[in-house]
Amino acid sequence: MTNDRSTSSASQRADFDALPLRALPSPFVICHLSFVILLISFCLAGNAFADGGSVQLHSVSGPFDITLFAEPPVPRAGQIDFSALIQDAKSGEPVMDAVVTLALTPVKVHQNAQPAWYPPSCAVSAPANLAAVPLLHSGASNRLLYGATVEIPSAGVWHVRTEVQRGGEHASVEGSVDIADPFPPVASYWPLFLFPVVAVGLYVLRQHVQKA
Amino acid sequence: MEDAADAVIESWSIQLWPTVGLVLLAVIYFRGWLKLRRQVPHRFDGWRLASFLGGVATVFLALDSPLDTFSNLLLQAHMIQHLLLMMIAPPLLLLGNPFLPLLTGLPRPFVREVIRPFLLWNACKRFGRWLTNPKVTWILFVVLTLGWHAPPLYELTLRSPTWHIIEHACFLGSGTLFWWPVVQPWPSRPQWPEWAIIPYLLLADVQNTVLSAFLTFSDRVVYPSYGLVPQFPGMNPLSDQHAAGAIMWVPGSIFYLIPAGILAMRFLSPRRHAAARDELLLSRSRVSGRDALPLIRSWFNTARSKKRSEEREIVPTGRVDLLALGWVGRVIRSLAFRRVVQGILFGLAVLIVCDGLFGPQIGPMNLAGTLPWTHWRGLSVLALLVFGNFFCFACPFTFARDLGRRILPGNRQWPRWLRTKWVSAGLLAIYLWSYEAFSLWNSPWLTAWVIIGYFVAAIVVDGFFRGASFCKYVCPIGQFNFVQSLVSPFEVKTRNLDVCHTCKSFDCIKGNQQQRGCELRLFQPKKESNLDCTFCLDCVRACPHDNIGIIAVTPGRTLARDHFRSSIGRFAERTDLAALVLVLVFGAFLNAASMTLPVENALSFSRLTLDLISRPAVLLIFFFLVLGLLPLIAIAGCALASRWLGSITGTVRSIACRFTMTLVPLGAAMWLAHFGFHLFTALLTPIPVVQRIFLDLHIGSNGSPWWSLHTPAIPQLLDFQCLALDLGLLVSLFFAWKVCVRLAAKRKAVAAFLPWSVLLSLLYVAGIWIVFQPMEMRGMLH
Repeated sequence: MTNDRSTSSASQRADFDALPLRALPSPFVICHLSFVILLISFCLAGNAFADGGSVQLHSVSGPFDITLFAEPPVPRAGQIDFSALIQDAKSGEPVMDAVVTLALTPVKVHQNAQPAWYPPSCAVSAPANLAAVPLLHSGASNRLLYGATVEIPSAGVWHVRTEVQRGGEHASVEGSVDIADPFPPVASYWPLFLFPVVAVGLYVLRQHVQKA
Repeated sequence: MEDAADAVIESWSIQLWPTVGLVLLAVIYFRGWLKLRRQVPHRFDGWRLASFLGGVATVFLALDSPLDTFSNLLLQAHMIQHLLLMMIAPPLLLLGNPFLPLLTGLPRPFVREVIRPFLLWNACKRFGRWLTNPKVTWILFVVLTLGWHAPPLYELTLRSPTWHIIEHACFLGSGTLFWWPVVQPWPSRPQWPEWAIIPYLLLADVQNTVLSAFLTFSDRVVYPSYGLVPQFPGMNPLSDQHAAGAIMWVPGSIFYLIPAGILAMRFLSPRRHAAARDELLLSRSRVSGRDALPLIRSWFNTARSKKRSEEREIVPTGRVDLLALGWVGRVIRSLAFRRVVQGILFGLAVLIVCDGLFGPQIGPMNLAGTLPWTHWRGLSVLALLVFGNFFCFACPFTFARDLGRRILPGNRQWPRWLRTKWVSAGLLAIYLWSYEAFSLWNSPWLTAWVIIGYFVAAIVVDGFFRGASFCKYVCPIGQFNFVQSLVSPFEVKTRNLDVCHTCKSFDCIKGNQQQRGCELRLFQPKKESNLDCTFCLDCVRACPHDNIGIIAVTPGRTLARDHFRSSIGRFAERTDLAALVLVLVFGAFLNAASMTLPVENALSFSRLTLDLISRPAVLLIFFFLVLGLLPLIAIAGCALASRWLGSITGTVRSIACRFTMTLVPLGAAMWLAHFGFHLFTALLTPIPVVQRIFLDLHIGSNGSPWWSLHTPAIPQLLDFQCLALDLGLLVSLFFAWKVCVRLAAKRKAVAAFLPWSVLLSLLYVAGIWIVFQPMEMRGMLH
């Protein structure tokens, strides 16, 4: 199982004979670990939920069983990933060929609410018409769902209506969703602001270590 | 249902950062593995590589495949994801013996400067031994596995993406630790005898069995979130939970039992006695990883000798030399290639001028409003930071300069009193002001005239004066490129200084019958950094010894040094150069800030308050303050404070000049963040413009240009902008510190560094503030 042990003894003896009798510095152990764990943990840092998230509405309407999700699970003003799973009400099979539309209207917008913030580069995209947002398979990572990213301008209570149409069949589900205040932009980018501080800290530590 | 099955298979959620990280990890390992394979092939045979890459692929599968997409709908998908992260990826990664390949695969200066001190730190050693002790690894693994599967914590991860990430990191980390004593990757030493690993594995299996049995036999839904999500046909939350428990139980147990079985068989095998003897021999001399020692020692020695050779300015062998890369090098070196590239850019310049003069006078609908201001600027800065001074290499104005030399006498010397950077610094300041004052980006006509003016200036200056006076003393674009290329990763430099010492002809600067020498009077053996180098490669073609290459260097490495440089002198004596750098650094922030709405509003308010008639007048005051007065006060103040705090000998002027050069990386980062933003938000804008030109010329089919074509928004662009500023700040801080260490009295370097670190931090904060502001989308139709 282990590589040292699996190497032939002859080979090990040859290695041993060929080398001076000094111990291998053991800090390599920690370096070994730090590389494998920290690098991969860093890799994980960007991973987030895909669409899906928390269930906001669920109802059987006509021939369809409709579930509306929102991501992030606690919806906040700004970009929200809405996605819908449409199932056949009888069989539970996912319906893949429906036309799904989402309509969002403000019911009670919080007074003095903080306005939603978008990265400047995203301001280029034309804001979606919240009265009729088409939900598409291509708008969701989970291709069983119909999804779209919607920009909700302000926190408050929003009325949500999901309409499903397939051939002559039509169904809809509606309800209200609480949209919380947006996080300040700094909250989303704090690792990037922390990075120079950590790097400087490590450098100071390195200097200390080198002296020691 | 076939559609649904296809949809499941297509449901990948590939995330940018994890994918980039994993690819980077694989590349670093592969690079190191290639090097080590030559030295110890029996330690790094093909299956080690396959194992490590398999581990990376497993992590990718766990994080980006449909398993992740469905993990919040199906507990069993989530459970498989966890098994991959805890039981499959870690042993595969460890079987690749990743330490040395990763260490060798990283850039040497990074390892030497950053990692090596920690490797040799006793506290680090002790912590490493403690962390890899099987008792610790077992407890950590069991506690984290049980803890994260407790319903409150599990529910938390389903509600919070951040906690979900932390959970995955814990699983991967604790999995790696758990499998460490089992795999014992070379060159680490075992802390327990081999037989002890068998109960280690079996006891871990017991906890796995208890947990999975609880999930399998429970008659209630343990994790309520899975009871709320819609169910797929033939499945309910309880059956899903039972399936998840079974997956954890059966395959999970197999992963413990197989290695335990292998170890048991080996323990009971008669051949074990011979192996045990070797083991004893090895453990007595503590050489479980003994054959790593010469490798590591030679690697450190090489690192040290590299450092020494760098100090002597001899290019060490092994550095990437673009001109030595087979056909790539031949192409870059050939004059024909340069002429072709220049011809293409010249043709584009002519096209831009024509469209600017005769096309529609709306910036985003005209080539003169899109290509020069959006694409050329962004690509130039990218090229500078990835390669080097590519624009000067491909400069279209060279045609005009050569033309000027043919039709005009070109025999005068550039006036001595103008042989400074003051002219170009002034021109740059004027350009930055006029760009805002006359909205050049939105005026194709003016843009065309600026380009025409540039051509005329190039013809006149080089038509009357010898050498490359235009490039060296006048061209603002050239000065921009020269300064930013101080942090480029490639440099035109000698391959071996010893060859230069024996050279008698000095063709690199004097030229010969076939090839002229360096027109900018840069003598290669005394040249340091890319400053004033146009990458024309005349010196390369002139050198009779083929001793000049385009060689990889540590970006910005010369910013902290102040040797005498050919045709430049010393930084400390070049006030004009410092002024140029200040215009470029503060100009970077000013130029970017001017397109933000708060600054625009402030300017409008000032215009009304001060009752000034024209916008250019308001901007003139604003630019004078931010580009002239502010840098002067800031730099003089810092130099004074630094001199006093650090007991630095020398004039305030020389100190200011030295430290000003260390601001270059932060300035370059700001230019990158700004121009990169325009480039990537308006990448596709030339498409409808070119369609419009074809329609105007009655070429091709009818139809209207795609004016509504939008470049897809890149939400991660802001991350890249922040990251660029982070790196710019760190590099600037590093070089400022190095200068302090060289100049300040003993034990006073920290005090001398303080004012400069404050200045750099303030500039960084300003940069972050700018990139977070709503931007005016210049060069785009709204």
